[in-house]
Amino acid sequence: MPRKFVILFVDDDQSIQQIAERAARSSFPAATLVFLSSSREVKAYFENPENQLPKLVLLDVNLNEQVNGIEILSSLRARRRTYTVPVIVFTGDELGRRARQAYSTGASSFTIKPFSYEQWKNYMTLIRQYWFETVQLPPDPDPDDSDIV
Amino acid sequence: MDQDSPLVLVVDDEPPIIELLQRVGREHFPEARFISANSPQEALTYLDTPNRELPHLILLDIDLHSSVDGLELLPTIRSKTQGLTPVVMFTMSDKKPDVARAYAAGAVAYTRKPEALKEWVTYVTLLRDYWFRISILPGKV
Repeated sequence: MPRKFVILFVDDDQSIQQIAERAARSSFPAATLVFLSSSREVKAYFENPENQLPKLVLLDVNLNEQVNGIEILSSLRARRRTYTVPVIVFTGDELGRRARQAYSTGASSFTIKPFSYEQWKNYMTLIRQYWFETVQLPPDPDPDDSDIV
Repeated sequence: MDQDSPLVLVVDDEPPIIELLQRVGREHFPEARFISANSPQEALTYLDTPNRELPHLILLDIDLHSSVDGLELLPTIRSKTQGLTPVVMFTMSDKKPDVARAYAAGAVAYTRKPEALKEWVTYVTLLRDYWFRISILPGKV
């Protein structure tokens, strides 16, 4: 079975899911988005060996209630299986006040969260063109690699 | 040009590369400034200069025809920029061990150098749209 191009999409605002899903279907049909909305769900995803390691992670840093996106980022960077997976952080704060913190914690890039459907389509197009068509992603880790750091 | 305009540091020992980037940039990304360091030493000298402008983005080749290659230079660049400037590998090699080492050493992305002029235009346009239109980069300071 061909491996899917899995993108984890972590955002506690579930109303975003539908618009992001629709935009991805139109602009990045090769991607399979997996939506997670809390740090608990992220942890559970990686603890289940049946889940495929994502090629990319899209992560909201303004996850206010349940979770802090920066903490999820640093936990991904601390695990052997995920420490090289590109993590694209996005924020609804246009001033990008957390940009420095995100980059120094290991974000691959810090992006502005789209608002309208048109912006989401443009965003997904650029994610496809850059990360799927231009960049060579890190090779999948050795299956023997344990997750204990 | 004003200090807010995108500053891209290109670490590459081949002068035609920076000339190509500047030429394509003039037409497709005119607000950007592409500056180059031709050796690991030049890159470090730039980053160590007091009051130097922190680049928004660094494009780093692997083979620098020097005792230190780009992958060995990468951790030093990361520490001198406090991890605030994303480093994108920009190289001819597509060897898996190089790709793996680059990510492990902290490169944010691994890209191949374009060949045909049309591919250079695509590369520069995407650099502009991805890194400077939808992303926020710390830079400066």
